[in-house]
Amino acid sequence: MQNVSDHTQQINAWIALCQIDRTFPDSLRRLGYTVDIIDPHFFHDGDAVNPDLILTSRGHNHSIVIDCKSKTLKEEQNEKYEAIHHSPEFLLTRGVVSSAEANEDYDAEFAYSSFADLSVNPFLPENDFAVVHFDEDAKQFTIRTLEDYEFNLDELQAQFPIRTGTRRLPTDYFPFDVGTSDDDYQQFTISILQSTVHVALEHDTFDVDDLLEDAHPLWVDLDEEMKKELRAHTEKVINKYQQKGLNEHIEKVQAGNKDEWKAVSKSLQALQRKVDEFVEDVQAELEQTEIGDFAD
Amino acid sequence: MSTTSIQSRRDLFEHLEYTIEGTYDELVDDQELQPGQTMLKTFLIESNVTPEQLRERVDIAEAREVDFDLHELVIRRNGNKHTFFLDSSDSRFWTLYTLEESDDAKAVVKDMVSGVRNGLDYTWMPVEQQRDIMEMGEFRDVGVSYEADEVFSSDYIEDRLDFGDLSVQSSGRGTSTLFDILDSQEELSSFLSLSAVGIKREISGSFVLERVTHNGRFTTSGGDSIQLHIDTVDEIKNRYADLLQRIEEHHRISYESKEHGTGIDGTPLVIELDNEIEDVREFIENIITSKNPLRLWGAKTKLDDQYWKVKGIDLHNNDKYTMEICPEWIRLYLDEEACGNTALRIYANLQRHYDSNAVMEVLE
Repeated sequence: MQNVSDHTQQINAWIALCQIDRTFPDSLRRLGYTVDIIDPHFFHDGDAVNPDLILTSRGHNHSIVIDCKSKTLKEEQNEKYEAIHHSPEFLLTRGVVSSAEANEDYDAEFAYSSFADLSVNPFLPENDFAVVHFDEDAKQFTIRTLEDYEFNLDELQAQFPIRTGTRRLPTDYFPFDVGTSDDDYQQFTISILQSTVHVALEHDTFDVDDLLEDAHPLWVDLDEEMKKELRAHTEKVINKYQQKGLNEHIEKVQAGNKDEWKAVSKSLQALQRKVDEFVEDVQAELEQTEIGDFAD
Repeated sequence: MSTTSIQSRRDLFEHLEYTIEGTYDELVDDQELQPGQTMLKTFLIESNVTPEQLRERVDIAEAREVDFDLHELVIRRNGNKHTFFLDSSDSRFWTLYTLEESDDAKAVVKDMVSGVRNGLDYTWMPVEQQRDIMEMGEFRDVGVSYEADEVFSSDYIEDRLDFGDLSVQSSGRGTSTLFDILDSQEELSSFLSLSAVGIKREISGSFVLERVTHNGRFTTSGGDSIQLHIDTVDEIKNRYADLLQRIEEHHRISYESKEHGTGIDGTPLVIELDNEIEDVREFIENIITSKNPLRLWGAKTKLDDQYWKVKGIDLHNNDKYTMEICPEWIRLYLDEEACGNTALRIYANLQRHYDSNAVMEVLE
């Protein structure tokens, strides 16, 4: 799939497996799994741990802690995740997982997920993690667990392989990866454009934080470093849009030492005719910009 | 019309009952109304604003509180004044009664619901709900009006569709049979978009003749019980309200900030198409034009040749939406604050202007 990173596609696919959607299998929902938490962050044995999502089935009193990878694995991450894998109860005692029963039957398993074949990765750990491979052919994805890296919970393992029946994965539960994933630039730029129009019609004036809070569901939970990076991205994007003609819709106003904008026209029919050009041009210019340039 | 004698709901309903009895007598006797005589028109409007906020959106010459949550409004349009009675006792679904000429009444209501971010909208009845209305009484007449040309460009229609517009009006004996014959034709079924259905409803010796359009306009051509008319409007409203409530309960995507991350709730709606889209990019360019009836602004990105994503704004309420579109289906994500009517406007208008066999499942 174009214009969406593999990482974002995986996160969306895992969420979608817990949803009712006639276009996509609900294999995990049928076992009672719901999305307990996206982008969890917590500490364990003095380490910061930040997998991508936790799915929990109250019926099975079981969670799946998932880290969506590209091709690379790191030994230090393996060690962090192994500690979780062998002491799952701390996910409850720390209040990270909220959809499970707090009793001795609770269990959690860690899983790596990837579009790439991690079986050839030298850092694939020799422990009982699950490793899930999104195998793509012309018609669909087959979501399978690697041999020797299966889920311990029999009912869960019995669901695999899951055949999606389509290559057209959902993409908007988690609309774009925060940070610097090139493949998500286009989702980022159109999300900021959408939020600019939305927020401008809603508020008298607005700033980049208003746009980011509107554009990404995880904004308020991001750490300050990430927020700083995204603010810089957004400033660039909205200034580019202004140069391309969005200044007919919004204008910059002075507000102390930070930039703010306000709507000058609510006529969106005229804006509609230019949207494709906006997105393509801004996207192209941003792709030519080095990541480091955003920090200026 | 002189309305000074109307001082309560009861007065209004007596006046309207007198009107529907009169129109029926004239139509039975002479098949046409007297000069100046009009039928009762009742509009069911979906609202996210208060009656006071309505004043900012239409040119109201006079307003008078008739009864609790019942106002008489004299609305100015093109130098003429038009009288409506607004019943806002259901704050989400307003009922507007008028005896104005049909074209004038439609134009006033169109102005009312068409502004950007004005919080008012038609009640967009999906085909399934229109077919339910047919079952509410003796089936009398039907309007089939497939109007792709209201949404799609002439080039798109020429290249991609079998019809630009298709209009069939039928009333009287045999209408039901005619409709069943048309409905059974496979090559026609995607284009049989109902614009209006007419029924005669009889309960306990009382009756009304109702014609109900796809966007919540009731024209009462006769009857002897205004209460039966009000009950008919209420029943249809309740079905629509139930559908809207289910959309808003299950199909808005919401996120919750937690101490250790973010939670998510809700699932997208899926519209499955019978009339598969030949060129998804062209299709999108026709539906996101910011114009009536869909009123969608948006920006698109390509996910594959025949799988595209649109992120945009519904100009009715300024709500965000996202659509993923491929030839066989459309997946619609609504924001957590979004008005469920956005989904029904998209769905009902796709049925009306593109594919009357489109199906959108809403969770119970």
